[in-house]
Amino acid sequence: MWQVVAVAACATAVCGCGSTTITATRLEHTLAPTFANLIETQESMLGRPPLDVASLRASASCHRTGPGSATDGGGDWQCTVAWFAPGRRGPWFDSYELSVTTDGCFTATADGQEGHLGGPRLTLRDGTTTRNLLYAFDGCFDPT
Amino acid sequence: MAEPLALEAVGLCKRYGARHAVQGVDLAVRPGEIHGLLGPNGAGKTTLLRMLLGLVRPDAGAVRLLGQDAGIPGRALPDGVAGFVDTPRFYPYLSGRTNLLLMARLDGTARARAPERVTEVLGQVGLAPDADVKVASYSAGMRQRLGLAAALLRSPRLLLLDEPTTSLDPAGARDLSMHLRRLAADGVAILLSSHDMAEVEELCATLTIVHQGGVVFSGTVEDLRKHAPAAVHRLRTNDDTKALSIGAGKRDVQVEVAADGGGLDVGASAEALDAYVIALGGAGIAIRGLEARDRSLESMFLRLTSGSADRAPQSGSPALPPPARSERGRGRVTLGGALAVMGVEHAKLRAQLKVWATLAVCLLGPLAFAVAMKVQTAVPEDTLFGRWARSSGFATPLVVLGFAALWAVPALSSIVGGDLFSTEDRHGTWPTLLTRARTRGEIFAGKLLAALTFSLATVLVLAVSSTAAGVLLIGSQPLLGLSGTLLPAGRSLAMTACAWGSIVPPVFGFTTLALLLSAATRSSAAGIGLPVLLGAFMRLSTYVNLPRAVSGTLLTPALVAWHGLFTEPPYHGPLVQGIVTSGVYFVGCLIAAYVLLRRRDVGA
Repeated sequence: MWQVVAVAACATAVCGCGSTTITATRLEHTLAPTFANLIETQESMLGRPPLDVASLRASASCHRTGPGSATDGGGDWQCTVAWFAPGRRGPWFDSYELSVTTDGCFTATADGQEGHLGGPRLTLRDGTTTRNLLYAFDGCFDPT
Repeated sequence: MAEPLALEAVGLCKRYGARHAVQGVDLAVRPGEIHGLLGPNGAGKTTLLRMLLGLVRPDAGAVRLLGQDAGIPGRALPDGVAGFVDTPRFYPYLSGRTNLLLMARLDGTARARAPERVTEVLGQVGLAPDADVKVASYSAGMRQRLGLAAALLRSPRLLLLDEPTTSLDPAGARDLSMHLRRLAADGVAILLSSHDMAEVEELCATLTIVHQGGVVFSGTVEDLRKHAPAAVHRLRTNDDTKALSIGAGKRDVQVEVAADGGGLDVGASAEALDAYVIALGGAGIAIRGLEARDRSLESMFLRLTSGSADRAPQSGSPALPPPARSERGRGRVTLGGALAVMGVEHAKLRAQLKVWATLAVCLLGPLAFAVAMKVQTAVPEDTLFGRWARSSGFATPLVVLGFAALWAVPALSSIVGGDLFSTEDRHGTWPTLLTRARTRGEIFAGKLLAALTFSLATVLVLAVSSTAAGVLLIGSQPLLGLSGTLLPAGRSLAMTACAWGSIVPPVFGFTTLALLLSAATRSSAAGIGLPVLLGAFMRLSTYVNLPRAVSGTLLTPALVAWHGLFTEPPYHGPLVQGIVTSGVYFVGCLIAAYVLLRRRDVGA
């Protein structure tokens, strides 16, 4: 009985190795539009003129930082989002550290010093503060 | 035309390993007859009764009760047949009356009529004054009376009773004897198991004596008397040696030195004994004492049941039952039967504190969370939607769902499911439950429905209370979705409802897993604890990059498959996969648990 279980476990492990559904491509294709949508939502919440999400031309480049494969698997990832702000000729580059779970969800937190995206909270003109949607956010993609 | 037998059993055999508990037993009981089933402890009487009641599957042989095939685990006991084995057991946290009301419900007694009928049988067994006291405080004798009341509730035409007077006081035993005589006079056939020859001699006209699993005598009490040896008397004289030698010279007297050294044991008829005593007097031997040691039937019983099981001649061998008719209906699972069992299970659950405590936690837990979010500034940022717990009331049910789905669902699913089968083992109530009018299939289905409805109720209470608490305390502001877009209140509410609905399949998967473990281990601790441990193990293993073939076998991903509902566009792959995985668990555990219950020998 135990021999059968052991053989089945080995066969499953061998056949299934490397078949994780968390890949850099899927992550990049989810992170970039989520980031762009958040810019639009934040601008709207701050009462600024509406933005065309497509005009931001956001794209992402990701690699896994933990032990093992750099291109797939859950765990810690590092991503850089490139996007074009309205009226600006060159792209902005913003780095995020991502914690990705095997169910395809992630939490992205702005990496390094506070840049043009700002810190966890934004100060409004009237002196009040509000949560900065772009500093830390969640997202999910289909891992199946 | 011969009167049909109320009970016919032919060639019944049961083995446990190398031990023959019952071997080739034939039994026949006619209507209106009290038939004694006599044997020393361990002779196989209780196993035999268990086979007759369908609690234990015979290895060989056939049983017909009131003309219907019986003794087949899985089938309902024929109408008009009732009885109990060992000391009858009931649910200790319910009163005697409530226990009987539940039994009546299992028998299909009309609800309006049940209370009156229960009161009637409680009065018949003398339990009316204690009817509303919890069974936990009943003495063994009171439980025995309640067992008889439960049997009488079925308006029996055949009663199978296992040592019914064991725990009764002399007055109780006398009342029971009178009651059994009255029943027999009304035409009820009674099989009375006992190890007390005097009791059987007093009550029964016919009897079967079993020893080491086999029949050593079957016939009337008069037949047994004919085969019985002479009565044994203890004789004490002033010269036992001489008395012994005088006895040796008499052919119709058997004299031997008592094993305990207290004189001589004399076996002789009354006339031969008189002649022997006169001869001793004539020889100048003084009689210092003469007293009866064993009555003749007791001597016969002891002779038959000592040493190896030598078969005594049987008079009036039971007739072979006619070929079995097809009676598929009594093994069938009907919706009405399953719903009746579910109703009984719900009534039992309503009497349990843990059930109300669980529902209270489900109701008040989310409210406490929403209050905490309202009064403090920190939010659970490490949980999806946790960042928005103070910004949108719709985040509250989703954060609660995130916590509950990951850690609480296995416990909530198994707190009832993991106890439903093993609780019958703990209280010893399987025989009580299985000797009513419901098949094992209906009992299984009813218990399953009860477990599923409770699991569903916990999900529903959590969903409604968390949504209500969030919306009422935080507000119905739009919710930020997982693709960075705002979801309007209406859509947020709809998606929240869908998210809670999506965990129902894995909840049912965990519930049936708990049922299976409860049935397999017969332990509530394992039935509840193992699903919780397995759930935690499955949850922890999702932190590891498992091969897809392995992760696809886990139930926990199905608990978080709702995430895809909150993206733009939504994705449903994990939901479909979760439903399939949950379905496999549900069906697999269901089949395995049913097979275990169906094949089980109860009380073996």
